[in-house]
Amino acid sequence: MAPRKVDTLYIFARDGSCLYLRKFAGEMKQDAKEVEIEKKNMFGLLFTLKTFVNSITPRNLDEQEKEPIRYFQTAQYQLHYMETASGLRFAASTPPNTRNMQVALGRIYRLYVDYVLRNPSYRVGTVINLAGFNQRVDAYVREIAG
Amino acid sequence: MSLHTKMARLGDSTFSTMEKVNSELLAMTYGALVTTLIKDFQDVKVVNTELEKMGYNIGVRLIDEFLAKTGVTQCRNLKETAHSIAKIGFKMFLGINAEVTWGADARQFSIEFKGNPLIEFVELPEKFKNLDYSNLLCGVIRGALHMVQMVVTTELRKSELKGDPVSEIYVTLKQHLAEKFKGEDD
Repeated sequence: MAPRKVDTLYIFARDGSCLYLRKFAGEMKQDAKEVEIEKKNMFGLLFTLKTFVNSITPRNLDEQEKEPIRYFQTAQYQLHYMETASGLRFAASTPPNTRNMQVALGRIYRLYVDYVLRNPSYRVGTVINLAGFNQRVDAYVREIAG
Repeated sequence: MSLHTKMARLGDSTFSTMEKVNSELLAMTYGALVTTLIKDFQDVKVVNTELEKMGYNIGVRLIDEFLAKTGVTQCRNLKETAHSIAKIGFKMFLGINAEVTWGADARQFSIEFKGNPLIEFVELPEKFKNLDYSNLLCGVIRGALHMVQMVVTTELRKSELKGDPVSEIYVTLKQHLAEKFKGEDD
């Protein structure tokens, strides 16, 4: 498979709180306030985009056919998105024209299940601060970067 | 292929990919847990509640494992949810086949199963006849469904430990939760 370079990974809970934000390229913004704003904006954007997309579909969709977006793309980057029935939202930004990221997001979901949820010290719905998870995500991102 | 057959197949295939643990170890560990709870709380009613609570905490995590490993996205209605739990969930996590029977109205159903690995080697003495030994499973279902926006109550109606031919968990849908997120009022 072609290399897929993940620049940033976000994980949001159903209520909009950002559980995980990790940059693999470039630097984290220094100002904590700016980071909070970025998280809020990203969630807001994803939520609104999903609602918007479902409202302008060319034909009437029933509840189950409504699909969240898979990605959107600008000249500079591509933002991929995956939502679970449990309300978890995974978003990852990559360079444009990256394919098969849904699979990658699915793999990251599996890592979340194995290294976050199974950790008894982790309280569900709180910010993820686990070395094991970080390591696995790093290793996976490096693996798919080719 | 009917949806239910597809679900049963998915249950089987997911089960085959799951890590397995020795069922005797599981039964013994669970038995020790229940015994300790009884020692600590003395009251069977309290133990039942504690088991359900523990199950709830397991369920809120287990749902993601279920979704991630089966790839199930959304159930269209309560019937599909019920069958997903019985055919896929029970199979992949407990290795047993379970059946759905529908309840008094559209919002209630039963999951019936035999061969619950938790009760292997267990006999319920007379003084614990009101102990819902497998109540953990009721909590798991409640916790898992809560994470997919369904508030339910669950009840262990029949138990092989109490002499019934099958075990039965009765599930009642109380309400669907609406999508909302914090910051909505900002």
